[in-house]
Amino acid sequence: MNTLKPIGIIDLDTSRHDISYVSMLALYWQFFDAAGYESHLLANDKLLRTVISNEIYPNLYLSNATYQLELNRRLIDLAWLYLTYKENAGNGCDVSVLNDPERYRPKFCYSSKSTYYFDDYSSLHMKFDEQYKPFKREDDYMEVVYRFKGKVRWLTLDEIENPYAFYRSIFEKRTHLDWIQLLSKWGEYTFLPKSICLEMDGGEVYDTYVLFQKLTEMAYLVNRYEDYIPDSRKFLYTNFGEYPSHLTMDEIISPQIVVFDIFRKSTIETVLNEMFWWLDSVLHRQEITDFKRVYNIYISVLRIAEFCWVFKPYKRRGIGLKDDDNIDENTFYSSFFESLNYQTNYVGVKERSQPLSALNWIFSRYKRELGYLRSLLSDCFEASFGKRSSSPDDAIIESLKTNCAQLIELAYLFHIVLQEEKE
Amino acid sequence: MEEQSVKRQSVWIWDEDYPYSLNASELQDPTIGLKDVFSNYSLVDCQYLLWEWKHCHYRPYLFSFGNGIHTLYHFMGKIQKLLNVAWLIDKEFGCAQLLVASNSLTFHEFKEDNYCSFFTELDNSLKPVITKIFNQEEGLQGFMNVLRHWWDMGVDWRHLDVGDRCGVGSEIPEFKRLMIMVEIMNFIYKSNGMNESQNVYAYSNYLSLEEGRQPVKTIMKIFSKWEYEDLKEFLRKLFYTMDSYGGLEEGIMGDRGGIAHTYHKLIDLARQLSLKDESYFADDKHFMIGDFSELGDFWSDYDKPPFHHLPKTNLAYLITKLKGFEYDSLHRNLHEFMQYLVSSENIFANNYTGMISLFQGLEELLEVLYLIMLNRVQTEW
Repeated sequence: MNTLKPIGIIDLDTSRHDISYVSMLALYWQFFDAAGYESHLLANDKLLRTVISNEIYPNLYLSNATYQLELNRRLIDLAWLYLTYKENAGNGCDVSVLNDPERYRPKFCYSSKSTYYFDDYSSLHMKFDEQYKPFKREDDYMEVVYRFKGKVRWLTLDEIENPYAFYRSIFEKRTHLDWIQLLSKWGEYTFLPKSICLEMDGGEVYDTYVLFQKLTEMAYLVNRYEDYIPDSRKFLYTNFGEYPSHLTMDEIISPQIVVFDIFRKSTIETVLNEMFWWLDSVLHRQEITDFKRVYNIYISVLRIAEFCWVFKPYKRRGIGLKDDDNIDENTFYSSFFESLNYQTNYVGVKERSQPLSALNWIFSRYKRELGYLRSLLSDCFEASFGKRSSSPDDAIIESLKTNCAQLIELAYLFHIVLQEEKE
Repeated sequence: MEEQSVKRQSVWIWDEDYPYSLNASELQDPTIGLKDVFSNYSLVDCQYLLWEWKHCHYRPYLFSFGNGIHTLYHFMGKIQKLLNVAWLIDKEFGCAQLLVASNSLTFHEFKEDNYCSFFTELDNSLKPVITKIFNQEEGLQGFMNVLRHWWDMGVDWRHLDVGDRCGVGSEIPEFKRLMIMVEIMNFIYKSNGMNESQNVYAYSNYLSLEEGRQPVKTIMKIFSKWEYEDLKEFLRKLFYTMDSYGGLEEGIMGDRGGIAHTYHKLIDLARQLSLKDESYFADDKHFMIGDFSELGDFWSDYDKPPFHHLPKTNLAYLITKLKGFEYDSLHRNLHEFMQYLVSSENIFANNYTGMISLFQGLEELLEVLYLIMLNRVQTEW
């Protein structure tokens, strides 16, 4: 037996040797057909508890545990197939420097010789390396929570951005065969009223558990946000109508870049005046010759709108649940606004006191769709060069004027706050 | 990034076989794998556990499978390993050298010390035998599927088969193939000079440690569960199963599996008794049953039980009778009969007299056992 070759033993009930992107997606789909997302995550929790403790938990008994482990095995198979798919396609193989798995990994230091993860007689502390920046990480974490509405807990931003590197790191420490055997070890301890820590290090067991969760989340992202195999951050927004297509990836991740950029080049007054000049000329059917000037203001408004789209809080539709967090955020910003001596002309008192909600209110006038607002703006842009057919109603343009003015002013206010925070 | 140049290879185990239960060092040297198997479970343990596993749905009274579900899982893992090694021996030229030591001489020695249910003769070479068994089970993955199915069977919440399980008949040949594989691999293991461990679970192939240590108590447990007449009725039922459509329909296996299970136990218990000397039967303490309630209906109608086979009923005659049975062939023929129920190619196919003598032998054994118990068993008042 040649054991040096990297071999993946695929236990999926298909005879498809062709790993095309359609069949890959079907495999991901089949996984969630067999296991619900949340229930699989929860069952993994139980699995960890059973394995690591000296008891057998009643909820997870008999074949359930092995079924759960078979599902995790399937996730590992999927990871393997993803890698083969990518490597055969010849792309995605560049592993960026960002994805050093050790980067944020604190080291666990056990003070006693016990290999138990933690017991009454041992103490445990973590050692961080020099480059460890806890706040950077927290930012990332918030970002992930924000984007995926709490559906993703364990994956870091780096991993989401580069599934290839994430999947690859799985097989760097253990081969596929090792994983299978580790899973059967777990299986054994689900039926034993003993802790798996008798045999292996508790930290390692916990890492494995975290990895199962991460694999589940990754599969979820691929299945949920993808029509295609993800290799970029483009799958953050489901459909075109929600996707801020005029922002770069970095700008989507940290949207403050957009406003810093715009308000460094020009003042708030210029942006507002230009916007009014442009939309008024559309309203009065004036032919414009200065293409560059119109294009600049069109792009600026568009980017501010997209900034606001990314920046606005996520609001559940049609569910009357109190959202206390939003109100807190609102007061934070509004109290900050009070301290500024900037007089708003278009943003009212109510909007000023709840600026984040105000963003939602504005978008609710456009079917809560970024795409709709964007199409109106591009219609206006075309109309200013004489394509009358696409010109919107006068009333719509009027309201567009005020709404854009509000967006610009709000964006400006946020920009000041963000700048203060940055310093 | 050098290892990246080596291309990943996927093995689809639903299409092709791969010994994935072995780790890297075991792949290099399969004897390590075999050692892992037989240092955990001796041959007798394997035979006994496999037998109980097959009958987990027919257990007529409460029986524990070693330490419960954990033993089942652990044992399944080791059987997987064993089958993987067998597959390697079949496929890899380098591993076939394990067979060199397995000649007729070592087989003769092996047979002296070990009882095998199915692996009774060695023709020329083992390799074609192994290849044939793999072909019958559709390869390594076929065996793995059997084990998956058996695992489900073992952890099912239903403990008794009420006659609605599917594909029950197929479990009989599956059992035979698994068992013969275990026996062959144990032979290879021993003929290469390696020693196995003590029995941990089994007293003999069909008895647990506890059952084997107290044969009288176990026999009484069976006799108090069913009356003598019932046990004879069971035997009749089993015998006439062969008349139902030339074999078994799906699902009708139900209690037949249980009958075979009980009779194998009885045969083995009788064998344990037959190994004892005269003084054992003379000593009352072996036949003392402490708790009267355990006896159930045993005493109720012992007046005129129909005994067909025995001219005399005194103890000395019964004990000589007991020592005269060929227990191995009773076991093997009962296995063969179960095989016969599901397949036409069998030693019983054109041999009805053989079959009848098997059942007569079983009936006779039952009578002898029953009379000995009647003679000897006493209760403390």
